[in-house]
Amino acid sequence: MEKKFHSENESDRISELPEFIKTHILSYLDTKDVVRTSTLSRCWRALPTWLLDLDLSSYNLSTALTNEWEGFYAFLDRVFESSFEVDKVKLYVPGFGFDLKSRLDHWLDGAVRRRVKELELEIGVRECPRYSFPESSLVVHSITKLKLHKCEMKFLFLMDNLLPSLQELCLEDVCLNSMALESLLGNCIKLKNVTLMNCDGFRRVETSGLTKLEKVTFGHSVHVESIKVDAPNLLEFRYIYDGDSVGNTCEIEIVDFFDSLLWLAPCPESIFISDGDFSASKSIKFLYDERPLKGKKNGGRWKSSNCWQHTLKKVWIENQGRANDDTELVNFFEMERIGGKVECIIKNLKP
Amino acid sequence: MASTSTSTLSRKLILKSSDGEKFEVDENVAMQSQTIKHMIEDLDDINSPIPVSIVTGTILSKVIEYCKKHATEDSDSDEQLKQWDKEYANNMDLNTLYYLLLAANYMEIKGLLELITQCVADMIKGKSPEEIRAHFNIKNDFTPQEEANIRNENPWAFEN
Repeated sequence: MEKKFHSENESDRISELPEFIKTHILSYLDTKDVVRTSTLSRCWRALPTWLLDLDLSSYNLSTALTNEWEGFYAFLDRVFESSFEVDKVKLYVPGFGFDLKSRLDHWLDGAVRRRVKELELEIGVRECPRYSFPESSLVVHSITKLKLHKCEMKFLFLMDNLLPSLQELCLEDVCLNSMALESLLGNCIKLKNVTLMNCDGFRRVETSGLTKLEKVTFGHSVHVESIKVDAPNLLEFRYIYDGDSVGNTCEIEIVDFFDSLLWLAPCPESIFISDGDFSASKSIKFLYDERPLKGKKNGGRWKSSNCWQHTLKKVWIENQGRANDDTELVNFFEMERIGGKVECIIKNLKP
Repeated sequence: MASTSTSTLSRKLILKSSDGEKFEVDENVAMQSQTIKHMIEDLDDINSPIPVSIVTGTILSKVIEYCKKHATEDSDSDEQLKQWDKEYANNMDLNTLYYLLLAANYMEIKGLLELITQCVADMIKGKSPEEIRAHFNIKNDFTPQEEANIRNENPWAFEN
């Protein structure tokens, strides 16, 4: 018995597919294409609200959107009304003003109610004010990744139990007071990756007890006086300081910098230091005899197997943009290494 | 445990389509389907035909073709397999794709489901609503006014 299937199809098979298969198809499209499908027919109308991955970032929306924001906002109202679960929300709010504040709060509430896991929020153009990120969105269990641009967080007191599942925190151009920063870095014990760029409002950055922390990027924060990253398992540290490349003045004392950093983060794989416009940078990679074990401090000191001083084998130092005299740094590594030798390889690359 | 896994390689299963067609396949081919895998676990006699109730013989033969290819992956590189997948999907007409989607979903064959879903998504990508309707023969049941309203809601999505 054989059935014939013709290539011309008279019936509308695709619309007859179960909703979740249609949604699955749409999940392979970018949000713009998905929104277009909502005009196909009635049964396609509501599908964008089923999407697990809502990418409404500036990259997707950059071409349109000038005076048409209201239409887009109305669409957001509808999307965040939905009660289906959502995994990722990337939201770009172009024309943010204080009149939009409560509406944006409402969208975030919607995302949280939909149990969002990865939330990215980017607030519009240069001139617009910062958005005060609601505290209610910071006590959510589902969020594992939070990326904010042009927001503000000001706490009156230290808060407990913030974002207990958070693994990745990326703040750009965010104003945080020290209560807010301390609450975040002190509570989110699952943090693996932290980025703070162009942030202000605080003078000290301190982490402690973040044993899962592997990657820290920090930069362009003018008013910060001290950074203390106590992270036993840190692998990568990137630091971008505010210095002018013309004056050739590295703002940091490089040996002190390494001395204090390696004391708190004893087995990194790479460290990157650069000036503000990336015209001069130093990149350092570490190779160990044996990969230090992931571990904890033992009575206030690192176990020897967890410390670069016992296992460091090779160091590559690469200077980009200007030639540095790294003798002091090399001396430091060679002097501090206990019971073995370190080989240092220096490379200076001119621009 | 190791002895059972070697013997499974040679075991044969019989799959029976909704229209009664029977297919004899190696167990490791059929096991690509999670649904069949679970059915076998509950089955005492693996010699009796396993009903694949919503899938017709024509479609089931195509599903088996996919499973056979993916059960013997060691002979091909990833690149070759991808190329094979692509040609396999491109040779299907819309009706077949539709039934394959339902079959892959029912039989829980993740790779096949993803392949066909991606293939259908590619047909939608970058097209205007009119073009999508024409391609899939979707009937527009909006009034012109309703359609205009929806478009006005998201003008950003309709610019190219």
